[in-house]
Amino acid sequence: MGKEVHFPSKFALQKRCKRNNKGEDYICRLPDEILVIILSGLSMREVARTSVLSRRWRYLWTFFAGIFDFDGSDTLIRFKWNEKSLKFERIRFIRWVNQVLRSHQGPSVDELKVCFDLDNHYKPAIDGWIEFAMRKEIRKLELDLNYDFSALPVQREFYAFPSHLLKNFTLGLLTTLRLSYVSVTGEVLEYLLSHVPLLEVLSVKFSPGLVCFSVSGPSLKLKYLEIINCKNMENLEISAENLVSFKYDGPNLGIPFKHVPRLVEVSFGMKFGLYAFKFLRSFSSYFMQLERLSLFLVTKEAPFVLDIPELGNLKYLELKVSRYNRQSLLACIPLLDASPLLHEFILKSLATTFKRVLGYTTRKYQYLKVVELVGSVGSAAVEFITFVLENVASLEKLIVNPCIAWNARIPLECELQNIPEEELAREHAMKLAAELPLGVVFVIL
Amino acid sequence: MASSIENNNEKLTLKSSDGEEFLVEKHVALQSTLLQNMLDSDCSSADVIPLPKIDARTLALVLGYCKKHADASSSKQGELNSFDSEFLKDMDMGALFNLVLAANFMEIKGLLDIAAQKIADTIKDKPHQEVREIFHVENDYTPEEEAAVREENRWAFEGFP
Repeated sequence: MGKEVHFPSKFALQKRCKRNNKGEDYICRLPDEILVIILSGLSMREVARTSVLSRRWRYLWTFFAGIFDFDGSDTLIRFKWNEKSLKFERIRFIRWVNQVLRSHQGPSVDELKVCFDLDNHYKPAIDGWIEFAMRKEIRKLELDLNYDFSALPVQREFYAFPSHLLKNFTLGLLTTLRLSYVSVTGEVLEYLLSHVPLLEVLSVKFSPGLVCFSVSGPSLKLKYLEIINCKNMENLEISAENLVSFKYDGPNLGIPFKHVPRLVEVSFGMKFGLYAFKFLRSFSSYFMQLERLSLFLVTKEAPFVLDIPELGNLKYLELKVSRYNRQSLLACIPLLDASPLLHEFILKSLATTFKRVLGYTTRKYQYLKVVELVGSVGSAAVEFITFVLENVASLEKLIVNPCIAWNARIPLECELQNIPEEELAREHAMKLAAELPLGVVFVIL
Repeated sequence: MASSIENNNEKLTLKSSDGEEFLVEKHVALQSTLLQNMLDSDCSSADVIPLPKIDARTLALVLGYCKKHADASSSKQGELNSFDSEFLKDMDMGALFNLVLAANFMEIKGLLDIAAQKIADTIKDKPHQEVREIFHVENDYTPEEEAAVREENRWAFEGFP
């Protein structure tokens, strides 16, 4: 005979439920905990709005375990450089975050994201949010306290990461930590790496406190590491068995790698991009394994000797070259030539011409399928497309994106403005489309 | 006992609330943490396992999901994803709710997640009255109370009609 299965009491019919006249009461059979699971698939605002459905729903949303996303960037754009209004908006923002977090009753929260212009002056409030995250066994924490919108960026003191809280909490489930405009030291990051067992993603941007940082540990799960614009950075050493991706922009460091057997993606910005490019030969033992490489090249120097080792596994190459920098553009062809298996090539450039840059090769790029040009308009775009059509044997997709603000400090602005030059470029690109061979997908963004 | 998992061809019988019996391969049943725990403890596969809160229609769906996921190798994630969305496509709310309840009871996390997300997607950005209808919620607030709750959570209604 069959065994009796005991149903947990949570399956007891909800008594509060009245059968409605259609006789369908299935929703009433859904216990609160399942409604909470369903709600967690919604956004924070949508969930809070369910409070007006009925009495039963009034506080259900406070058990929401999904993504707490406090994104104030719309307000920041609206009150950009208006210090007086921003001051008022900061208080409003903090009050809002505090109100929502205080009303939360559930045991756990998946993710907390905060994006607003805040500095160390508001430390008690921000400390409280981090404590909330720790108490609720957070998986992902993202703090972006950016100053790009403030009129007084120099006088401000960066919010300091509350290292004293680390002693009281375990952060056992944390997988992702992103800090931007938060001052955090190498010591604290090293402590996190050795005490947060599941940490896979670590991103630190604009942290003046970061000077020396050694990434190492016997059972490091870390897969993605990003260190951007930490201006006091002096020393970085990476020994990480599972590291897949490393992105860096900032002061020159030399070669930071010690042991990175799984590294397949590297992105170097600005100054360091040029350094890495110049000394590609010394990076070659690490770059041979790369599948994705992104370099920001800025140089006014004379063309350097191009001693490029073969990038035998490279499938994706992105080059960013700023305006008036033909010298940096010269890196294009040798890099393409050194990457026999390249599948996708993206060139972001504000150059007005590619003459004498793209004409040096007779090679056909056999594996290249996707090519994207960002930011170049007018005759430069024509030159680039001609080059692609002549040298790429089996092109599948060509993308022309005339967004000339790709290098903007505030990417948000890029989408807001309708730049007349871009419109012209789009029209121009439409004409070019007519000359493409059949079978190539042509996209204008 | 561990011995119960050794033979992959072993089958067990599940019985739905409306009395229908389903013969299930053991590796398929193991997609359910509830059944896994039962098999790991003292439950012999010769027994019929009754699931008195899950009707035959729902159980058939659940087992279809389990079979697909048990048979697919982990490398075919893309294929499984498209199976998942196809699986829930055109399913009515009643069936979805039953599926969520069954997945929760049988502890099949993957199924619970996708069915709950499907319901969440359905109510996204809908006016309250529509959400009430979908969930068969009777609004028992007085107009004043409703206004007060709305005021209490005003931030969530900014830009919402």
